Amino acid sequence: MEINGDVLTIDIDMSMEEILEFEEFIRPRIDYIEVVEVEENGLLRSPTLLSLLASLKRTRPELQIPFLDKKVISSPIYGIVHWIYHD
Amino acid sequence: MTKQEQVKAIFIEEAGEIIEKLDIDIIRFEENSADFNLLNEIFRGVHTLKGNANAFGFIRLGEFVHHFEDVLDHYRNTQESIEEHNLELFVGSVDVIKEVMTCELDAIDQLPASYNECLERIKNLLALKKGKEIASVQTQSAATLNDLASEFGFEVGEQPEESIEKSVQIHQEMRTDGLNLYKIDLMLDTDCYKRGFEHLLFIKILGEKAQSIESFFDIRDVKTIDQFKSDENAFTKVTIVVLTPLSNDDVHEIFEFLLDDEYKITLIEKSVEPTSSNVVVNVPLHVEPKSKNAIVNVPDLDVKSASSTSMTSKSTIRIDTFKLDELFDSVGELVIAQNFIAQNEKIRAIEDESISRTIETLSKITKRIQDRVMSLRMVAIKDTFEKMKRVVRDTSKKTGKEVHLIVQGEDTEIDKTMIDSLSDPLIHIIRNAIDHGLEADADERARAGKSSDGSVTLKAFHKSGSIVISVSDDGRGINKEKVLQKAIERGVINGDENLTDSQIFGLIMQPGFSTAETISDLSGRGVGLDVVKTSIEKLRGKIEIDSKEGEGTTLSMILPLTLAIIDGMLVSVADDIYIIPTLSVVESFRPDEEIVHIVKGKGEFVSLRGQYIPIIRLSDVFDLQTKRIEPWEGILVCVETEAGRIAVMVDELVGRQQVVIKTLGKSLAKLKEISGGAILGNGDIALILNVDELRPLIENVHA
Amino acid sequence: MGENIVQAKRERYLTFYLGDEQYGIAIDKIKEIIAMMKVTNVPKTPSFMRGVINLRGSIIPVVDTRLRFGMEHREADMHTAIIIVDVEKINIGFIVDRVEEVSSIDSSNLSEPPKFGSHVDTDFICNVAQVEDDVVMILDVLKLFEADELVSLEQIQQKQITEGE
Repeated sequence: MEINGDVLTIDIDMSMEEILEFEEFIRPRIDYIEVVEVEENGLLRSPTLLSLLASLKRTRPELQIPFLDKKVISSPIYGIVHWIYHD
Repeated sequence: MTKQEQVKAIFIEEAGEIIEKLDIDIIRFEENSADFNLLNEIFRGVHTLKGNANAFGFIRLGEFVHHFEDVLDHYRNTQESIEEHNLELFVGSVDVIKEVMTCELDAIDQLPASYNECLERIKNLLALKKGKEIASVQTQSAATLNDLASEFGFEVGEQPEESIEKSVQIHQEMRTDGLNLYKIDLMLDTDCYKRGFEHLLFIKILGEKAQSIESFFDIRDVKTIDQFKSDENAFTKVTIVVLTPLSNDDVHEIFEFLLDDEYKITLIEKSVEPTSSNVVVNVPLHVEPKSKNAIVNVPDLDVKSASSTSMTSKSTIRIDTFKLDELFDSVGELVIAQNFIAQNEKIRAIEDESISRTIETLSKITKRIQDRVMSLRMVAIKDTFEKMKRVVRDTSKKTGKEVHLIVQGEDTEIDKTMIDSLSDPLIHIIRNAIDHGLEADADERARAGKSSDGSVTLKAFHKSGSIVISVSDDGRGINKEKVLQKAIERGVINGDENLTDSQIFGLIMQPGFSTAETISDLSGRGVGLDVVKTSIEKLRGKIEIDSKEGEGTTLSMILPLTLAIIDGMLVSVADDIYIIPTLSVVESFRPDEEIVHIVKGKGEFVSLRGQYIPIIRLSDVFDLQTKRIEPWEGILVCVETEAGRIAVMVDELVGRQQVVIKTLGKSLAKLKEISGGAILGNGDIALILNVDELRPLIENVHA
Repeated sequence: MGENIVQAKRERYLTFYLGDEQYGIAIDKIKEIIAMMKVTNVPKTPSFMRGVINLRGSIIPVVDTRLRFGMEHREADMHTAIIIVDVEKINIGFIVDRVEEVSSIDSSNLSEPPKFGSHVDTDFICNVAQVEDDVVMILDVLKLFEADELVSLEQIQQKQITEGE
């Protein structure tokens, strides 16, 4: 997890602990962060990451999460994964 | 290269291949635009390309391909003929795809001029076509708005159900023989993580075997961050579309720890006409009760079996049996080599725990491989039993007897090569059971205090290394006295034998015994049963009959697990090892001197429970050079043969084991006394005796 | 040109010794050569049928070539080998005293077999080749097979049946 100005960069393969850490970090700062970038260097390890991102987006629609908007990832382990949410 | 880069490289390579193929297909299609199979092929390629492009952020390619896909989808669904100028557009589009791909790969910002032009034309064409279909107010501006979102592989306004349906269709077209298509809905509750269940885990497990897997996570109900709990599942519904060789049972097994209402597995039937892609037949499988004892009422049998057979479309792959045999042989070699290592003195002398553990692991793995290879030859007897339902119905109609068929153990597996040879004997036995085993009519049954419907039970099960297939009826049963009387009349027996019940019942299968005239007065069990007996014996099996007069008869076929393997008793004679099939062995013992009798001119006999059994010295039969010993110094192995019991005299019993039967080659196949050979654990060969052929020789010797 | 090819036709033969005599078998009939190994006796077969061997999981009959050709038995030594011959998918092993080499023999060096002078029934010899100073007798394995499989064993069987009656 890395914060650079108002861009928060996280890794896709965060473990559950890291996701919780991320959640803890962003909860109080949600209004100050403009962009959440997901580095796709690895494997999605928990779907919680998806729901957390979706929840963030829902809470603050102007938050930019390009990864979430993609609505699809392709992985050698999981095949093609789509997610469906209201934007 | 990072993992991601590796994956990307693979996908880029794949995309390259797809584009190459598109290039060829589109030209072929231009020549023959009525070939909708080819159009489907092109569509699939474009669809996959779309997925790849979006997944790897090739947004410009993704957008183009996305619209192109929609146009193709329109034509393949409507099957309307393609106008010539549009054909040209398609060919041009593939060229654009090629160029855009290069731009994406080299990260060139400037797109070819043809990109926008071609894309516009495609969009216009689509709008035109869609406009005809749906009386819509879809304006140009709305379409542009949509473009933004649709860059990402998902169509705005497209309901998730539609996307899933589309995915199912795509997979339906991708499927080849041996693959099953499932749609799996997971509806896990909020606390599922606490129970240790996680969607991705299931996807991963399914993905291991899958040809293709696509999943849809619905997070529309996700709560805002003040109510969000990261340890709670936010996905109300996850749908997985998977194309896999796994059988329905295998798939169910993956989800077996979930509650019944948390998952739904739908096996998508193969559509009869793949081009009419909108029709997908969904058969909710888990609704079907899985009864162990399928009781089938004969009159409405067709209806029931029709619905159940459609369920049994297991994924299969056809393999040349020759290849299987080769695999089988190789595994045999592996087992021998493994045994050699395990038994090697020098290796055993090494006192190293890691070595002995490795050898142990090796032997376990070898055993597992052997079992699995063996299981490749096995198929459920279900289909054969299905056929029998028909036989029961027909026979029931013909004889006018109401019959209740009870089928048990139809999942029992049996060697494929054996199954084909089982049908005819089974048909024969079942007909006999209904025609002659059951009472003539309901009145006769009523007098015997039985229900008016007769019942026939067809059963398959494993019993101590063999497979038993039995046919039981609750009919008249066999009258022992009459059988004996008839057998004496016909000269099958002398009458002074002391026969056990099963030996008496066995008489009805003797060739001389079973003639047409005997049917009616002896419950008619004899008709053609000698034929049945011969065919079962060819499979290295045997038949046992059990009957109680007035209560019914059970005829059991006891078969080896596979044709290739028998359970053998290893015996030694003059330092050579021979194998006697355990199935024919009645008992083995060292006789007391008192029970061995020498009958002048007839040879040696052992008296056993009032029966005189001829002793056959294996060393004599085979002219083996060995020290002559007395029967009470050796071992007698009493075996059942076609012509009654014989006692085979051997030096020693060595052991009992499962052996793989091998032929001795054409040049030795004519040796009647020997049915084949087997390779023992130490690599030595032991010959398998054909006990039935030991008989005539004795008679010669003692004649 | 075609004539040249015919004349230059050379075939390769595996040569081996039985006693002092050198024999050859066309190389395309030979599956492999293995060292002498344990042979399991098969009862009720002619003496030249030494038995069966376990060749990596396959059971293959083995012929004692010396006995087959009427020579006397000789104990196996370090040179004794089994030549596995494959004719129409049937494998049979031939025990020989010593395997010599693979030699190319020009078809022009082949001649008709003599009618006598060898231990072997000349039926099984299709050609005699002159290789340097040695004479190599080329065996017709197919004929040998036919003889052993169909004639010889059938006769034995026949004999048993008639004896039995």
